[in-house]
Amino acid sequence: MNKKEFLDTLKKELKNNNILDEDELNDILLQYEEHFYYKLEEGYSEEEITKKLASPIDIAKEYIRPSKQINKYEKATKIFGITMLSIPVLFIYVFMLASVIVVGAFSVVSLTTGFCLITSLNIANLIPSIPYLPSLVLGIACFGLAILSATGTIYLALYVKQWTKVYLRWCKNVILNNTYPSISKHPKLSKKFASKIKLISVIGLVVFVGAFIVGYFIMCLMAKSFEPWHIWNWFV
Amino acid sequence: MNIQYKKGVIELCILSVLNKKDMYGYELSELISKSIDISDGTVYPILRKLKADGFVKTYLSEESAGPPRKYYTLTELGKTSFKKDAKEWLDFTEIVNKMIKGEENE
Repeated sequence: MNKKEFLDTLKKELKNNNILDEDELNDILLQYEEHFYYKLEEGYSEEEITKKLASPIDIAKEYIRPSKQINKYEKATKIFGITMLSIPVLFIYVFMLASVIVVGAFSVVSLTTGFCLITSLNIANLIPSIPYLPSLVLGIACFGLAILSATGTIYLALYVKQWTKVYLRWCKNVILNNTYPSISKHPKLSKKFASKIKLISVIGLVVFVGAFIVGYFIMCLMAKSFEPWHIWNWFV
Repeated sequence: MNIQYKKGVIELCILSVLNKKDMYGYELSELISKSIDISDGTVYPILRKLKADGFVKTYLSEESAGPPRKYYTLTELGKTSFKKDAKEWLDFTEIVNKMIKGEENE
């Protein structure tokens, strides 16, 4: 077979296999034009080239795309299904976002409380009367708690973001009938970032627990009781 | 080795080669058909399928001599897919190799 015969047969067979778009046909044939060009440059004859390419009839078969084109009805059903599923998912998502906000707010509250305890700033008279030393120590404990809950907020936020991606990728796969690789359920954190956050959260935890215990004992010592809040009339 | 099996492997080979270096169609086809016992026209349809599925993309490069070359390169999807498939392949072949060698020892 010579080059012209090969390309003509290939084109005819592609059309027989339902590849009818002119642009696509030209694109496919251009690749074989390129192949012939370089092979001829290397000194092969057209006969030799077509022999090594094998049959254009068989080649054309390889270009058949299995109906990835799912019919419109199937696609519409899938989109409808995903939309219906997404309604409860949206509720869950709002809940997750809310929890991130709550933990974040808690962190801010701890920070403010700590600040008040340390500076003896009694905002809205919410802080009961407490001698300065335990107030200072408990203030530090609050700072620890603030740091701990701040890292918790960051972790939560990263996970919510990652799970959103996982869900969206799943929806995309379902609708397009594709198999894009599934995404990891865990956020991808650089080792440096992950260990930094871990370290900060451990520091926060240690400071909180340590300072809280120390503060409590100082209060007990000063009030000479294991229930200093009774002695100092906090809850009357 | 039957042709269906080879086709799946050729996809992996294409991704593996492109993972190291962008290539134009003919260059890639020659490299692979010289290494594996397949006809010259085998790689092109597989390459086209990889592009349609979004694992590779193309760009044109004006060379001084000859027709403008269409270079193939991995997409982000192609890169992650390759990493996953390559590991699967290596694990799988390690097990199969052990089984085969084990049988020969008996």
